[in-house]
Amino acid sequence: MKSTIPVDQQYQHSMQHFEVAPPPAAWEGIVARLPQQKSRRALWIWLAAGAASVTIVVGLLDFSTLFDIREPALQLAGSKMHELQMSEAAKAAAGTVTTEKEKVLIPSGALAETTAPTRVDLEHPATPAHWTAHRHAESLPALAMRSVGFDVRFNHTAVAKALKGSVEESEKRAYTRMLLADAAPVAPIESSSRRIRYQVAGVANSAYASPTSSNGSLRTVESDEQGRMSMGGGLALRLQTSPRWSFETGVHYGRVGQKERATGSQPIVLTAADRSPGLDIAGNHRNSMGQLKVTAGAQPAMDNNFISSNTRPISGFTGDVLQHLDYVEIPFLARYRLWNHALWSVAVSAGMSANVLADNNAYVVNGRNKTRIGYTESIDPFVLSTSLGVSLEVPLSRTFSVLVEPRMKYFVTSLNESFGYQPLELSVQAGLGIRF
Amino acid sequence: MADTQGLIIKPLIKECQQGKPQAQRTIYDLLAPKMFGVCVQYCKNRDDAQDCLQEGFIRVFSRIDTFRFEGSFEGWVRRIVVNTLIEHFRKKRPESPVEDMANFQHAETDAESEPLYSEKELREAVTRLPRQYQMVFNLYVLEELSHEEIAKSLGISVGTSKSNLSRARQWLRDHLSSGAQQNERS
Repeated sequence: MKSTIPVDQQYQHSMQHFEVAPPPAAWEGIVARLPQQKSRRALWIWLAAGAASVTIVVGLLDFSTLFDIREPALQLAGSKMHELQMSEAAKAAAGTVTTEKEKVLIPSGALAETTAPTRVDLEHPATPAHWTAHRHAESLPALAMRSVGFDVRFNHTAVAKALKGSVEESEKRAYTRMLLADAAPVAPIESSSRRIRYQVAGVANSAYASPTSSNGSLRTVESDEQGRMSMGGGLALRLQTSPRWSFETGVHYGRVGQKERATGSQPIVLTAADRSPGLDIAGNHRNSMGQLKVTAGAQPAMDNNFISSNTRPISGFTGDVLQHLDYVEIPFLARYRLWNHALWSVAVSAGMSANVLADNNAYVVNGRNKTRIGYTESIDPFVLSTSLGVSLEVPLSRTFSVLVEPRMKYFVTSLNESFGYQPLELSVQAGLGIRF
Repeated sequence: MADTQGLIIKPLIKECQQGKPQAQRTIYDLLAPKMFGVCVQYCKNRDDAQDCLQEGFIRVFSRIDTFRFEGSFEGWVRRIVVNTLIEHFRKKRPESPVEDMANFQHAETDAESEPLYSEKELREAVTRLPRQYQMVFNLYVLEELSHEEIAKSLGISVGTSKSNLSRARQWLRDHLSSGAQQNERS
């Protein structure tokens, strides 16, 4: 039978309502590779777990110390006290008080029976008046602190009786230690309590980002992919709310990335159909970070990394593939001082960071020859990370200090959701802090 | 896609944009048979067709946030699936050089004498075309791309695209008519 309908149109017509039922395995394969909602749930689980961990740590480390400055060792000289100590009257009074306190607090027996009120007024040593106890025996630490501050009048009898009746030996030791601090200049408690101190630090870090992939629907980490060392730096602002607790934020510029090595049997060849910039070759090459987009089609042909073929209408690059993602990080960290020595202090820090993508580059590398070829597709411009660190601070003076902090950082949201790229970064930060 | 179906599918697309698995499944059920039909016509075997269908739908769901409801959703999905098929073709590009128009002897037949083929044998014949002919023929006839667009998509010259299309037509006529003659004899 002859027709006037060309074969093209006949074929087009035959396809208009043509359908073929896909095999059930096709959907299963799609589901397995799709980033599901459960990954979002997983993110909330991560965040909840992080928040719970911080809460537990705070609880274990005595929450009451969070905003309460009462440790004499950390309350450095106040000018008023210094002047007091320098005056003859204060010297004499301080000597008396110290002696009396030691008598009261250490052996306690004989002095506990002292009934005649002895009066010592540091500011007006010659003025007679009644001593008053500002605190009861149950509040002995606070009382002791006030005694250290030289600005509280003691009722020796009341204190002695309280000590005799209820103070444990350990508390006596605590008193003794505090009183010994009388020798050092100590600021009055009223002027230093609840004071927030600021520290600004410039830091630089060296980091190693290890490629890890979880929930990756399209790709897992290949054996020929390696993490990269990188440098970063920035400013940190630390608010010290108590001798032990401080909170940190700032701006930090850092880099994560990886190198995928080309092996002899499997060279990485990135092809471009022509040399026009912006050509999408998505699908030609992908790794755990994502899919590469080559934008260097117009690369000069004399570049050693550039290959072309006369037999096939393609041209492209071959070599190791280097991918960099630069992020601006804004951290929110809590820091707890574990040990506080005169020459150093050690603290643990933990928290979350917001990371904003600043730059995204892909290179081909052959030896020392490095050519930028494009970037990694579908990288998330905003990701969250958690970090955990241990910091060492060495004060150089009251104002300056040296900071060193090994830190572990994990991206809780994927840098590339489809590929589940969540690198783990190990870094060492070092910097100089200025305290205000 | 018909308007009525469009009305049904719009809330589904919005739910898909929120990543709801049930909506993804419904959209897949609605469109997969048609898209698999397309994949079958572009590929040499069912396995490749299934791979392309899966990859295509993964891209659809990954990029569904970018769909702005400004055109046909089915057309949008089809473009993604066809782009996936093109990439698949380029990855498995035939190694042998392809003909250019300069070396090609034009062999058009009279359209008025075109036999009327059955839809099934026509579709099956297209799947048996040499791979590059099949791709060019499908892009030209089904997607209605120009030779310039086909050349850019496949990384070939415009002349090659034209020659491939002509050869595909001739190949189809030759094989379909010989098949028809065999049928008549039997």
